Amino acid sequence: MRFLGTETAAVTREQAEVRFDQLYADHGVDLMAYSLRRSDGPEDAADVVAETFLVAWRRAGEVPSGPDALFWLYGVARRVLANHQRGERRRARLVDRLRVEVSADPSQPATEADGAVTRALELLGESDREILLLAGWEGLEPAQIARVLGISAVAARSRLHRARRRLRKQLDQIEAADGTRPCSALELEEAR
Amino acid sequence: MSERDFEVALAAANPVSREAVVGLTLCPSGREIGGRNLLAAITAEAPAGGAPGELVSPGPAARAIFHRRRFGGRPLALAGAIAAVAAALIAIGTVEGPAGEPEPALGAGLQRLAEVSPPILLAAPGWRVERADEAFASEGSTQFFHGDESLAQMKAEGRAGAGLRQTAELRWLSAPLRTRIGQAEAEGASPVSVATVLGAEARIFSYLPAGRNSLGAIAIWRHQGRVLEFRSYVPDIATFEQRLGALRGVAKGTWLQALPRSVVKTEAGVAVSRDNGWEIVAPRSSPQTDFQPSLYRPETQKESK
Repeated sequence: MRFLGTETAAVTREQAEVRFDQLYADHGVDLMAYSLRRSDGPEDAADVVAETFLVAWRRAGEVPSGPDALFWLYGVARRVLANHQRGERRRARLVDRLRVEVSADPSQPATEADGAVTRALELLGESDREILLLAGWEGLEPAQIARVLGISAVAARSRLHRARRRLRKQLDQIEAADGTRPCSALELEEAR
Repeated sequence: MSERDFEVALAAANPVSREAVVGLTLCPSGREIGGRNLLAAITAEAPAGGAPGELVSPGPAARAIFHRRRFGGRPLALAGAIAAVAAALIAIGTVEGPAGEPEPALGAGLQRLAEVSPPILLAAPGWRVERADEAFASEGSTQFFHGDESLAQMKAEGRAGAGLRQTAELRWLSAPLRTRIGQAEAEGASPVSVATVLGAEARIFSYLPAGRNSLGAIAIWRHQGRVLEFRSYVPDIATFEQRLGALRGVAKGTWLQALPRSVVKTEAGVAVSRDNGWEIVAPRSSPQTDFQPSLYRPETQKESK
């Protein structure tokens, strides 16, 4: 595996900065989307992105090159989020840089059917929910999820299967309780 | 529901599409600029955090820097944390973790914080400590809030953002005073006044933060051989100076008693309390990781009170 800071014998600071720029250009959007989907708002998401890239800079030698860098960043962001959700820490100055850019909240209003899925997701454990979101929202394959979570691909596949089963069960219970069910693929197509 | 319906329903519940994020001013034209701005902030923020270029540069001088940093500076800091753990273990013993392994306990993370943090509190009515961190080697912060409840409590009850809540942060920094002042000015902060804080002369700057109606204010001064920086959002500078004037040096024990119990971050590691113990918040795959298992159990902090 080639690392951001060790591909060649000599990496100047200027080169490292260029690579950081590239890392941000390649993955900033995906990381921001990841953070927005899991944060209470753009400011929190900007906070998470800033802190994740801070870690990336400080650990530049550990960041994989190519597409794997995104999975590494997701893994860091996941931990940063966990930290934030406990402590609500703000790195005001870093975040202000991103706040300038992320002034609008791109969240889409949820429909009733989406709400059923959201409620079902909230009823799951954190590990089930995260693996489902990595697959369903980030569009990752089990092998890629494995890199984010630091587990084997087999384990990721197995956990994803179990999480799907639990989500289905929650959805069934929600539907039984109040008649709300997610739209089928056909209904969604028709709605568009 | 078919497998396909299930996948579609899950995807449809995604509150933020990638396209929506691409549509932000973050990108595409601002993306590169955003990265540079962020990096500028990071390098200004973390002078002791290590610059990758310097760390891997092959020249002898650069290698010397590398070795000083990797095998001199950080391990010394780490050694301090390890010594704190060892002292705590000798003094009070160990406790058993959720999996049955003995874990360092007794709020040793707090001991580390107490060693390195300036024992200063915002001694004004209604102000309390929300967090205390050692973010980098020789750097950290104490964050204060004013209000009836902590943000964590409000969020837990689904009332995040409700009510009036004020915050302030006292940071201790490794950069020279002149460098910090230069960085504040480079960030767009303008000098507005000078005040005496804890017996020293502090320079006060203000700036207009994006997305806020209030004023951002910063005071920077030297205190007992290091640079302190106090930040807060205020309606006006007079309020900031009043807030600044409420900073008081206290005994280490008093400072420790004022700390919250949720999260502890030290140079040795970051620990977050969980229902079933604590979790290290750091990538665990790398052999080069700076983080080490940290030293915090909320129960033992309660006991130590």
